Amino acid sequence: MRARYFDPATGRFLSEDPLGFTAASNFYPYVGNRPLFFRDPWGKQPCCIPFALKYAGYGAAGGAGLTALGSVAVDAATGGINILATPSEIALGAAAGGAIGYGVGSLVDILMGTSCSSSPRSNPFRGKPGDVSTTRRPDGTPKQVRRYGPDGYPDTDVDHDTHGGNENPHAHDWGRPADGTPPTAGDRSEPGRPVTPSDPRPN
Amino acid sequence: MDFQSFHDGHFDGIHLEPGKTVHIFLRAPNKDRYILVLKGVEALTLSGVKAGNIILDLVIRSAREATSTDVQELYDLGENNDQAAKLLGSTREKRLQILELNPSYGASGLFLFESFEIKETNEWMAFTLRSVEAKA
Repeated sequence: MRARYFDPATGRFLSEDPLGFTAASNFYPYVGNRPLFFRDPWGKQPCCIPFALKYAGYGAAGGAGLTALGSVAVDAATGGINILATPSEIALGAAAGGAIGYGVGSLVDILMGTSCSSSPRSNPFRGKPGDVSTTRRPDGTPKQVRRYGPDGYPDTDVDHDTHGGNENPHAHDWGRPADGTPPTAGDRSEPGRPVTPSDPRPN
Repeated sequence: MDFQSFHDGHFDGIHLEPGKTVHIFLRAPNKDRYILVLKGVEALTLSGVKAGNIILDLVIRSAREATSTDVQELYDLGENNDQAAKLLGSTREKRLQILELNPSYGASGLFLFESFEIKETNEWMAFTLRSVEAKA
């Protein structure tokens, strides 16, 4: 979601999905037009919506509805139906319902193991020029920070907490073939070099 | 040889043996070659293979650490959460493990399997010859 520009007026994305053809044949939909089941907080890899979030949504809707229904009264003079609950009371009902739904959904997630990872396992090879993409381990520590050059291909990788013979962290620079074609494995500097202040940092 | 030693190494290829054994050919940064033999492979997905695949990391996770996202990716389930929950349950019952092949460049993979061994090239060739002879 954070990798694309969104036009609230039309409700559509203005830029292509950076996942390109790996996401869908059309570059513009969000999570393949299946927002009920998937979310994509980083704009790079759709993942499932756990039960906790789904149930929180159902709970909020239910809480708001019940609060409103519970306050319905018939006007004796006109015979009309009035909802006596104020907007803030309905919002309070939604919050309470959402909290209950989240709690129940979290229990289901624990029992069924339906949590989802919120970060991709590796950085995409292409990105928005100048952007920095960070891949993290499940504990939140960074694995690799990648900055993209003006052509959208990697410019620098900073690898963290690894034990492959390079120091930790260390940086790899991506060169470009002289003929202007996209970089390949041989264009990544090896071995890594020490990190400098101008290298990308985790975002 | 531990898995962290393959950071900045290379994924050189894969051999799918008839049955449920998969051989993954790896090269450490010091150029030493290893073969990771996965046994009892239930599912795998491999994409983005290029010439000179550079490994960011190899991660092994237990069945308890498997998620429905893993199962959805392994079985191309899309939004079918019910099937994902069933397959995740069976993954845990069978105590399967998950291997992530995460790239700095090229191949990205996910493997669902029972057990693994890491073999050096010579050891692997001897092992493979024995298997071929046994089947002949």
